[in-house]
Amino acid sequence: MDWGEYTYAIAFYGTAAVAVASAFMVVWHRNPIINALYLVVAFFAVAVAYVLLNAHFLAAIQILLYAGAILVLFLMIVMLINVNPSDLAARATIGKALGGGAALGIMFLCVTVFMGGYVDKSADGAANPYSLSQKPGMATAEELAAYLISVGATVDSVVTDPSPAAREMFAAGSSSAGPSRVAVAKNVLEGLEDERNMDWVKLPEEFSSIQKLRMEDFRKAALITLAQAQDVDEVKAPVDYQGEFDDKVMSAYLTALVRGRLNQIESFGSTGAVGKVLFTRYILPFEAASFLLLAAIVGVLALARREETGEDS
Amino acid sequence: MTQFTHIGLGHFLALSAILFALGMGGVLTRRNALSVFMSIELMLNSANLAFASFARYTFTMSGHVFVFMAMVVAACEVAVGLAILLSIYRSRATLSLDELDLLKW
Amino acid sequence: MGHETAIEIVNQGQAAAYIALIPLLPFLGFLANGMGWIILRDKWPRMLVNVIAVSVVFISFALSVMAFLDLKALEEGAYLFVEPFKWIEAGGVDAPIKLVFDRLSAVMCLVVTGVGGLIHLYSTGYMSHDKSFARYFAYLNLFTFAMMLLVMGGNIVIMFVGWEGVGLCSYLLIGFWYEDPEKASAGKKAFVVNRIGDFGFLVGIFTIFWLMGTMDFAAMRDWVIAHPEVMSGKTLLGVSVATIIGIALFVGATGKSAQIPLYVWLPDAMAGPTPVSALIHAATMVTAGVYMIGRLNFIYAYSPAALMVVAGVGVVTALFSATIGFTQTDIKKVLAYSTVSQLGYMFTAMGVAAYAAGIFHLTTHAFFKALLFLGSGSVIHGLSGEQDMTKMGGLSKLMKITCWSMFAGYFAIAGFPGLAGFVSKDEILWKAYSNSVHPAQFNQIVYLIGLVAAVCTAIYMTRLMMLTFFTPSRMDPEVEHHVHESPWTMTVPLIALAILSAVGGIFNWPHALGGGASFEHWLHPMWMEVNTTHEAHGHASHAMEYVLMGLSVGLAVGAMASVAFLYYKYREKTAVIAERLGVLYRASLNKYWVDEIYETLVINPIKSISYYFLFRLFDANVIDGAVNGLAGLTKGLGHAGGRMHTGKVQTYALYIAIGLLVILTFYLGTR
Repeated sequence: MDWGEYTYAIAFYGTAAVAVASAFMVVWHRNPIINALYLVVAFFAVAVAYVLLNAHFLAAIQILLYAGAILVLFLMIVMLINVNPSDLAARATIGKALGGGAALGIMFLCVTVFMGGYVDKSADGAANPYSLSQKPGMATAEELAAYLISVGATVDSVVTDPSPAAREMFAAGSSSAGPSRVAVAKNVLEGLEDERNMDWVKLPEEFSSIQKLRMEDFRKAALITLAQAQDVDEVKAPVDYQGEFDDKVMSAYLTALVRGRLNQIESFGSTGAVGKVLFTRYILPFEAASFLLLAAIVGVLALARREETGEDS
Repeated sequence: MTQFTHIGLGHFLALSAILFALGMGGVLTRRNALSVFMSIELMLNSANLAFASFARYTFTMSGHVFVFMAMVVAACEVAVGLAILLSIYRSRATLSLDELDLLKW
Repeated sequence: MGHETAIEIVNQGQAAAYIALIPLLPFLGFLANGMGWIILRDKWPRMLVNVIAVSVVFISFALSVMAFLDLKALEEGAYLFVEPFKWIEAGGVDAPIKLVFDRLSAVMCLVVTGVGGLIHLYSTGYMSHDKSFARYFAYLNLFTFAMMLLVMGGNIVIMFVGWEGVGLCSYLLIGFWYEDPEKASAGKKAFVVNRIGDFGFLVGIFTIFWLMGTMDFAAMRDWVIAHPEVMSGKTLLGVSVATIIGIALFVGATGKSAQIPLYVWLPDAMAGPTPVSALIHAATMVTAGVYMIGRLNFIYAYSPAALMVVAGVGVVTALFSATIGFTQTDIKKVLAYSTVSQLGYMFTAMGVAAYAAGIFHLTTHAFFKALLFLGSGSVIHGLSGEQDMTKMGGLSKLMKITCWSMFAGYFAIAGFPGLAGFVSKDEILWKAYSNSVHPAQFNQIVYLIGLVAAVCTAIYMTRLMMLTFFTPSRMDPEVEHHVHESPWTMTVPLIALAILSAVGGIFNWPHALGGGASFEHWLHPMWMEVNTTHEAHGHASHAMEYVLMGLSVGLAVGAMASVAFLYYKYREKTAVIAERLGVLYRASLNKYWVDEIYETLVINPIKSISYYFLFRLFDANVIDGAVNGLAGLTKGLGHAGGRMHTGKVQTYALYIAIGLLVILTFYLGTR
């Protein structure tokens, strides 16, 4: 999903307003039933925020789990318990004043820091490193395309499948003069700075001699060489690579990296992407979570059982 | 103006912080244990939001997995917590936190 | 330079892991019997205790013999060693667990395990009626272990561990019958007096480390050889370092080996079981000081002054305690003072740099004094615990083996020609007279005192034998009825020791009498020539030796004969003689009031200071004040803190939130 800058801003502010307002009501209103209902609204607003963050899968389970399951539980308990009217009466105490003050203070400090540190103050919006309204890979894709084409790659050889949008961008980039080739290569490799992103890369045949485990070293070596090189022509072959490291080979190498990166960006936040990491890298925590759920079930049964039946049995 | 129109990481973190602080205010000021519990859920959600923001910023999926795990824990916590509240209500016939001062002993 | 010689010395050492078993086996015996006693008490079978306790010591003895034979096959100056693991390693301090079996250790090991084994065997009979049987043997094995550490330690720290270990066992065994307050306090006295000596010993160790930067004996010796000018030239407060170290170490030796002024604990130590007196307070532990001086002779080699102190204290002690022995009526007390006296002889030998003679006297003394103690124990056992000689007499017919074996010991200690004691004591007297370490006048005085002490020895020993065995019986009829010869476990060690006492002299039969002095040659590589300026005495010839030998033999035998005759014919006259002697008699009987003098001069002032200053003033006000003040402060803070403790979860959450706010503010404010 791609957003125009203003559309994105409007969507964010609307969501934020709803979230804050309903959260405020959760805290402010004295009746637990009203609290619970406003809590649903807040959960929905957060789900929308997830969508704005490209986290579609999270948005879906936010609604299913929180708004669906947890809220129903809350309401059920509210119904089960007679709320004592005297509990609902407002009573101002020093503790409450201090608590409210502390919460406000923390809010003030955090917002100051985040808005001061993470909001770009420069006029050049396109270069805003913290902007979330555009996908970062896309901003430099055309520059990359320019470089790849200059070293002999064709549009078809570079962009085969990722997405028509990316294809278009490469195609468009091929006509422009292009920025520094070194900067382009660096950008791509820095996008892959997190080693986990290498999962998305399928290296061409020339590099098949390199074991998967060594790929991280390979990437680092390339990055360091690039950082030292004034021009991409000075890039040396990675240590593990035995063959000839000419322009064509390097182009193939970089292409593979870029393709992996683009694949990753394109599928970010999808159910498939979550599933891929969840069932590979995080399989152990995932299984542990299932045990946690089992333990919770047993615990809840033990707690909710009535004392009388416990004595009978 | 770009500070307000370019929605960046900071905006989402600020939203997260505001929700967290509101939840904290609820935890510290409400006397009804149920409402306090709902405020806690709010705080959990704000933390999840921060995770998702950072995940989007770095384009790494790990953040989403963290959120997923946090949701699992939250589900367990709600189930067990509400069962505990129910037990307390059965034995003491109140959920007012001012009267539940057993932590002194 | 020192480093290179150290390597050379190490190369002379042969690794031999099995020698670690020599101390280890008694330790295992201690563990077995100790645990058995703690867990099973009386159910821990006595037979098993006997077998374990006795066999470990005899196996150690066998291993010592084996090591001795191995050592004999090596060239002079070589030694066996084992270094199982590093122990203390901090900065410049390096004290590994290192056991060394060289020629000196070999002698000590053989004596300790050999005599010790016999005494263990004897104990199985002597202690057979005691209820804390296993505890006794656990202590005895622990003692053997500690003693082996002492004599085999490759550095002075291990030696000190053994030194303290034997002190502990001595304390435990003196107070073995701790239900009796007098015996328990005798143990305490031994411990405290030994601590005073240990203080000096520690000062010596620290000075050595400060000076040489090492604690290993071999490395110390190398250092001394490499830096002779420091040893005699460097001074502290106007005294050369060698003298300071030598005297500080000797202070330790006076405590452990019961020399003036710290001998007072040893007579009281007779409160322990008699085999303990034989093993610890006669044969082995009390000779630790002698051994230590022998081990560190390379330090004394640079300080004739320290040697002079050693010889002077030794010979004075020899005479002083021998005169106390005249009048004591408790059979064990007589032997105790005799032990102090004989130890004085050993120190005399060490002090005149006749180290081999000292160590040889240590060995023969171990034989005959152990024998005498065991014999007296046999008498006490037979007389149902009676120790007073005035209530004995006529036992020669009732306890034949005990009597005649004790005779061997008696002749040996009195210096009857040909027996072990004659050979060793005469060697000491001869070396005291003829050595070239000290000025001639000093030598003559030492010789004279030593000779008088030898005569005294003959006198009090004859008195002891006569009163116990030959004079008419003065026993209670009740006791007399029960008198019996001891069982074989007790008589076998007596006989074995009697044989050793009789023929032990052949190991070091002097050249003057056509012998080979093989003991002296064996130990010769251990010693270092004393750095002295005195000329060797011109008249140190065989002729002179014969004259002096004849003199001491004549005097001793004459004293023996006359005293025996006196007691045999005119026993009632002894009381008259005592009365005529008047104050001299009473001084000897009351041990020269030394205990009383110590009581007035040392103990009472310390008690007063402890009570009035340390307890009433300092402890009650300063320490208690600080402790109570702290307690009050804590209580006040607790009350204040308790107000914050409302028991409501929200209050606690509020504290967390406020803390978070403070930390965040601080963090952001300091960026």
